[in-house]
Amino acid sequence: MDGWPGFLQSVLAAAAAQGAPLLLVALGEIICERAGVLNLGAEGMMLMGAVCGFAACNAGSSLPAGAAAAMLVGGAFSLVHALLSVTFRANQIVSGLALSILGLGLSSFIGERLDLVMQPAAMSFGPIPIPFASRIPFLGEALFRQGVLTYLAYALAAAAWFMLFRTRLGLRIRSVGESPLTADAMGVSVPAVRWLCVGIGGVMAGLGGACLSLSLSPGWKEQMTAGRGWVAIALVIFGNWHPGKAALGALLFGALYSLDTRLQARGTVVPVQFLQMVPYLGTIAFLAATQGKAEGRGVGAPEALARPYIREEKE
Amino acid sequence: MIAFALVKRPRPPRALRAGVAAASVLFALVLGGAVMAAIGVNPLGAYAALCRGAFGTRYGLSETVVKAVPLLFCGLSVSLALRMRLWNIGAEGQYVVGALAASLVALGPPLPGRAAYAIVMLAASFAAGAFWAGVPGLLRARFNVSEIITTLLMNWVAIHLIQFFVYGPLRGADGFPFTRPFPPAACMARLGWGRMHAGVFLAAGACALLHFLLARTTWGFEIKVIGDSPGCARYAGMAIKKNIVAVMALAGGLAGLAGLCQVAGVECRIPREVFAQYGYTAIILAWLARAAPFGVALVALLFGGLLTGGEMIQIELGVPLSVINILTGSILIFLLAGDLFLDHRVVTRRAARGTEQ
Repeated sequence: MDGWPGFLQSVLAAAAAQGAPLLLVALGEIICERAGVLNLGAEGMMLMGAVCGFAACNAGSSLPAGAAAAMLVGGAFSLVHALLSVTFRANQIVSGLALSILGLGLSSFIGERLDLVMQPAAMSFGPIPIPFASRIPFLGEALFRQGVLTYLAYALAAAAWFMLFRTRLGLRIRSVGESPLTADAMGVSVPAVRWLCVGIGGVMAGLGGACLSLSLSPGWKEQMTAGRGWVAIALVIFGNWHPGKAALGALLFGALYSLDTRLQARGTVVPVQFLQMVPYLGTIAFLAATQGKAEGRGVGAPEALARPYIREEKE
Repeated sequence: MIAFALVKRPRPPRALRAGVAAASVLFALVLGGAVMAAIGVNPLGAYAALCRGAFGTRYGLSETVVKAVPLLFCGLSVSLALRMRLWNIGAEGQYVVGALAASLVALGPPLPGRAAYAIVMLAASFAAGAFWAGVPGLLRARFNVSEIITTLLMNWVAIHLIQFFVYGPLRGADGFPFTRPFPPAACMARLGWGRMHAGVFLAAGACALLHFLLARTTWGFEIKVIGDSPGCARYAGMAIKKNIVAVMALAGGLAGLAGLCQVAGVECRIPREVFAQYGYTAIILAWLARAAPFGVALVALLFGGLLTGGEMIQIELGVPLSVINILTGSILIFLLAGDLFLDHRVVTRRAARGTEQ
């Protein structure tokens, strides 16, 4: 297809792919925030997942090993935040920032030590067309020729919705995030649920990082997430802490990321650096548009978000 | 086994505060030492070399101060916002646009004399930084958009913006990706000690002025009240929204001046790597100094030394600079863990039961 239909199709295909790492991280963050813990360490956990996933994949010549390593490292790294914010009752904003700053230093250190910049990717998640569906004109051709991790991200959005809103565990998570005092009185262990959710968030962020280094742009370079962890946190707010809305938002935010290369390919006169600003400015604009509307009628943020819960102590 | 409990305390003793800060630095040094040992470097030797490099020589000391200048400006920026419980995670971006604005003036049409350059460049970098943080401030005040996310995202916009100029309109004639050098009149005076420049006085002045503003003026009191108790501030009729924008803009302006000092004081052009993560380090600085201006100055000198010494051991011992980043990041983590012991007393369960009765 040529002209505008072809352009739109390529933007849609790239949007779904670019949206996948954002969605993976955002889903983890939604679960974490639903339990009342704000984790601003998404960028750091993503960076750790990206570097360790890539290193493990190249060392073991195995994509599943890479993805598993990324999830493991992301999860383990997030437990620093769980320890600080849940057990040590630290300020969650600073604790998350510390994780982001530490992840930046640690991932660069690991990448430099292992000389990862020089290494080509041994393998990467290639596109897998879904039989029949990928032959649907326009939409199918765009959305059903993606990598495994992209399909997984959108499938996990459904799974996260089911877990949060249709299972006993989900109810517990939400009760801990809305009213930890009540949850505690009902016999739910607030610290246990919060540790678990922070860990899930870390695993998902690690996988989101691997989605970058093993699927979207195979390879490793310093600061390769380029703020995607923060865009994912914006996506959580944009999606009103709901997995389904976050999945739709991921397509929209992904489209922002796909625009610059697509427009460059079409030969635009706008300098490339200005096209590269689009995802960041677009994210800010989306936030301003949705937040402005939500003002005054109760936003969907969990009631106890970013508040440490301490039994026996009143606020 | 003796069970322990935590009892909240309203106001931690001053000595304990300093103790916790010192202990967190110490723990981080141990962790950094372990990383060095893991890559086959003797940590004690490395720390000795780091201290010598940062504070042991005349030149090293001057480099420490030179590096402390942008750190101080950025640290003041984050601290000012923090006084009102606002988070400026975008000092990095404000620093970058400050550097860019100063460079655009320096490389633009010629101005008559040093004083004219100094005034216009100062105003330009302050205004650029103020705008860069003022927009997130406005979005926070008007639409309730989290300034944490917007200031952070603006960092990346700033980086792409400066790259456009460095690789485009301001590119040097020799084709390298840094700008033409500034005319001599646009560079800050050197103090005849290493690369130490007049920006040192500017930073010290800003620090003292901010201390005065925060501790001695009604406005300083007002933003503290708005931060600590918004309900109280509203009842007292304080202009909350206006102050959010004003504080963010002033904070951004301070970070913008960091960029001015770097390009006009040290480099005399925009170097290839203007991006030095001063803005992120500034968050650690502000938290370590509890957002007190003079405390920030002290910690900025310490971190300036860490960066200078870090470069030294990178050259001498091959310790990668990222080890220093791990070190600074873990200082913050240990500091946060230590907060628990500041806000609570650790007592035995039995004693805890006693206090409740």
